[in-house]
Amino acid sequence: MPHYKLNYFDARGYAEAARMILHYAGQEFEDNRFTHEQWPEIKHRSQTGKAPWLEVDGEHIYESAAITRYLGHTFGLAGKDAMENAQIDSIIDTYKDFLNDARPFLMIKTGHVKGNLDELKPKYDEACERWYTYLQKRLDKVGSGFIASKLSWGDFSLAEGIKTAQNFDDQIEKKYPKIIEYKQRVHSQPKIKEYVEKRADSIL
Amino acid sequence: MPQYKLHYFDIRGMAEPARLIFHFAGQEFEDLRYDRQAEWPKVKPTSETGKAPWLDVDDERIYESLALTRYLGRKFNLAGKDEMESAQIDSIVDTCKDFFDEVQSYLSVKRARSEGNLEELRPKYDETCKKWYTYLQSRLDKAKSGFITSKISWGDFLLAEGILTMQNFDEEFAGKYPKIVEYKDRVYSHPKIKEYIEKRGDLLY
Repeated sequence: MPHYKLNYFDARGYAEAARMILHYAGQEFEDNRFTHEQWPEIKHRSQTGKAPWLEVDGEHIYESAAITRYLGHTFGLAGKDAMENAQIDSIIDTYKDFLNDARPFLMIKTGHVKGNLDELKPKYDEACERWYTYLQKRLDKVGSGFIASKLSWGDFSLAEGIKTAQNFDDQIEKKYPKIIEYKQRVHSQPKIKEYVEKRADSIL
Repeated sequence: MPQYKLHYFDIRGMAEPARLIFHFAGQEFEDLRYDRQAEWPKVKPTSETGKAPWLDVDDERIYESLALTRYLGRKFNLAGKDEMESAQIDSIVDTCKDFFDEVQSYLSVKRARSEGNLEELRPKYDETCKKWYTYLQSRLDKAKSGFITSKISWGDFLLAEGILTMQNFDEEFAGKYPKIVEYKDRVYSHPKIKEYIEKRGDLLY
């Protein structure tokens, strides 16, 4: 078995889906977490200057989606065929587009940036409406309860995103209850239920 | 054989790597190109994401340029020799996307698409280019094949397109990154796409 080492901040963020896959698979791995204070010293170890990165017997993989997709394919959490894999990729990329649209509002909400929440709220609400409607449509189309015919790495990434959204927006549960149900369905899968219950929460 | 229909604008942009894959594979496909002013307003509502490109494979539709390009790459044996190589292609392509996001503001002003001060934006642009192209060169050096993995892949097509675009907007590019331009030329001179590249003409973007 290869030796896996995941390197990221001590937060869920862009690494949690990868952690979840490894827990789901019962695969031991080094969960290397560093603080923001430690980051300037560690940064030079990252060939792209960014985190997360995954080491597989010393070979580095950068970029969270590449890492998560790789682990998904390795541990039986990919789609059933090439077309399903394409649909997973497609939905994840559309989710990233949504994050880009939502970011200006969220940066102010989290206090990272100063700005006018009231001005940005309409655009943020519109982006949420578009994205969650699209996601629900995809879920309805497949009918399995997941974005592909069975649980996949894409569901782990999206569930984390929904959880983070709830940390900043208490309206989501009211406006999109079926989306919250979807997140709970993913998080209550027997192989990760315990990990999800025990893990430390982080706002992001 | 499935029927392929690629929907996009009449530019290289986010769809050209997919077109290159089809030509490389000798696979027929409908290369639909919408005029932004005359046709796109009517077509846009038919896109479930409101965006282009998308790919129809018989009656299935794939949105998002990287998803459809990766799908075609895997289909036509242009996705690395194993899962690790596939992951490295994904990784380098995503890092390339980060790069273009970061230089977007400078290029937008250079293209006169937005207002701004080129002199002010220039140092960050130069630094960002240096970081990315140094990283790309290190990946090429590591793979030793002349490509980013052991053989030509959809990732090389995407990166070559990006390099061509950079050359079109930055007249100093070839002088600063000659080995990167050599890499692009190596990709483009592959026998299976050479003719298409020569015939397609010089599209700026």
